Amino acid sequence: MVSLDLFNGIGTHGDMRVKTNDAINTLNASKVDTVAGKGLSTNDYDNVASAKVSTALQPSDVVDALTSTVVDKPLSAAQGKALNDAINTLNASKVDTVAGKGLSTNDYDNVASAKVSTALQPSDVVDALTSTVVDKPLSAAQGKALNDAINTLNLDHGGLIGLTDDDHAQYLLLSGRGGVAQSITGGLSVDGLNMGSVSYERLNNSLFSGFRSNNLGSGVITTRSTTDTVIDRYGYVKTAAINTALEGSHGWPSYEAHTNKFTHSEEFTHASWFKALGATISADTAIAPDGTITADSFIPVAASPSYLSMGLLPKIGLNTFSIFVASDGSLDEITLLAPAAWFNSGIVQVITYTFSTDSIIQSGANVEISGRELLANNYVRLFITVDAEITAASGLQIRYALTNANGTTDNFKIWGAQLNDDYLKPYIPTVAATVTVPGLTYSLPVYNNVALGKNGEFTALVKLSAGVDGFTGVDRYLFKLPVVNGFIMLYFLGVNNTVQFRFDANIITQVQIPFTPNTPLYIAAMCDGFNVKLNVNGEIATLPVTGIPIINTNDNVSVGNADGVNNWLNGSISHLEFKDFALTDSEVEFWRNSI
Amino acid sequence: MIDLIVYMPNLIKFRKEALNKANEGVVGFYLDEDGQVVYAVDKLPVKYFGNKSLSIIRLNDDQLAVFDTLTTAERIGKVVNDTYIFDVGGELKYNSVHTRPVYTDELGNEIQEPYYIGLFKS
Repeated sequence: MVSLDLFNGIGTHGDMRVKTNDAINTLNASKVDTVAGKGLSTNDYDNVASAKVSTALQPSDVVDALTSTVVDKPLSAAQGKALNDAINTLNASKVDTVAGKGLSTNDYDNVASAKVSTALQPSDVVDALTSTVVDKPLSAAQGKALNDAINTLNLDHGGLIGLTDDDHAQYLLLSGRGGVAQSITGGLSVDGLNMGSVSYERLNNSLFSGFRSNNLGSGVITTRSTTDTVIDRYGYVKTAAINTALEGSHGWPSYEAHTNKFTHSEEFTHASWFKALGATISADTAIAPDGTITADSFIPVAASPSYLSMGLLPKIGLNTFSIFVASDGSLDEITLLAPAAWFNSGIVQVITYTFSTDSIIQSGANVEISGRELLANNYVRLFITVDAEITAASGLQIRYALTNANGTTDNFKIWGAQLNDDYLKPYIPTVAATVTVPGLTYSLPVYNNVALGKNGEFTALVKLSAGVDGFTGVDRYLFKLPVVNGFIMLYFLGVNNTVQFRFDANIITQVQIPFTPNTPLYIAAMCDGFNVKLNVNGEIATLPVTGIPIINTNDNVSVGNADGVNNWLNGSISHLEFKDFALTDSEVEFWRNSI
Repeated sequence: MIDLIVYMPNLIKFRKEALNKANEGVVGFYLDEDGQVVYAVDKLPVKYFGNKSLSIIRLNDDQLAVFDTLTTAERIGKVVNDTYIFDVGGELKYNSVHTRPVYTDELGNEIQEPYYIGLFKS
């Protein structure tokens, strides 16, 4: 490189010639020869540019890999080609942008893919109503066919038709709109109950509807000159006032006058009660069925075994011996015994009650029936009805069970005892003498000049729950309803145990159906103006009548007896109502299953 | 309302009188469907001794008026507060029917009926 300071020295000094020659030589030696086409640059090459040249990149700085992460060196052209090739490849397989469309934000994964693979195809649609496959759709065309079929059904106002030949369950909408009664025609069968022609309105439309649960009915007059003892539906012992009826556990009691032949029926410490073989009594130490502490504790001696006894004369025929008794928690069995002296066989008649299993074993050919009623405070009223053949005074025994498995001297609570004629009767407490309670007479309102039904139609619905005597040989009257020139009457023939409906208007029309005493009894007596029909527990008998039953007398309707004196029902009335029209068999069945 | 102790010395005569009352339409007397005469009052179980009988009957005022017309049924006392109160000579007639024999049962126990033939529950 030549310094330009040299020209400044020549211009200012005397030895300039020598020095100039030397300088020329020096310059010549170091000059840059002219090259055609090239000359001095007009751009300054200064230190800044020199610094830049010193740091300029060299070929060796070029990176020939796509894996480098350096940021101040260039990528090789070869790698650029590789990238270009890759772009071209992607460009060839890309999805072009379409206005309004973009990539979904939902993942399309394997699960979705699997579902797509099993998705139903048009060929899977079933176009028939006979197919039973459960995983393929029905065609729209078949849907239309079904819709057309539905439109042809008569669904207007709830009337269903054409159901009688279908074995499948059917459903009836009662009061589907505003409480209006609905009907099914054709005899629909629901759980064996024929509901054809059942009318809710008709079933609830009664001329008289007394003798229902908690409802004796308005206008019913009760007459009994004494108080009475009643066991209510909860098993509590209550007292009915004079001329008042209380509903018992089986309905409204209707019994003839009856007597408790035991004296001191709640005083087992009294000398009238024989305490045999070491038995002792602790008076008024235990809770009684009425909630008072008036029951006695009987303390027997197991080894004997010991018993309580009182000798009485039986009635020839049926006699019922009953006691109110409770276990003390460990006693398991107790025995009632009717004496051998009452029977031609000379054999005692016995029942043994087991508290833990609530079961009775009876022994003896003269035991007519036995049973128990469950009462409050864990009491039972245990009874045995025997057919006595000999009038001989002998001891009725309440005894520690002969077969008692405990073998210990367990105590039990005893509150009352009764011996009455015939079947079990309501309990009567006694003290020094036997006590009699007269029968209770029910008298219904007078239906003066009321035409009983259109064209002589009439229905009586009755339910009896217990205690209808049937083997006494005496007729038992349920009700007697006065009509023109006679009466309508429903009663039991004691001689042959049949239910009899009688329409007596100069000419007697009557029909009989067998029944079983002491079982729940449902009776519907109907007259449609032409026929008398009697339905007893579903058994139907029909007999044509002569005449039309019309009420126009001034007599009361009597219930539970014929005349207030004789032919007492001796049972409990759960239900009694009269209608001035005839119910159908289906309606009677519905009533029977609904109460 | 009164509870009377009633003695009937001759049942056959009583039944004839009752039949006449029924035929006359006297209230309380009538024939049932079997043709048996009925005297329709509340009564305790009747005690019999031969042709004689004894009972306690409960009468209202109307029934008492009818009873007083009977010639074959005799009042021998009344029951007040569960106690028998006999008229003069009444207890003798009572005991002639209600003799209360002593029985011995198969266990050797002596049994005798109570002195009262019964009471109405008040």
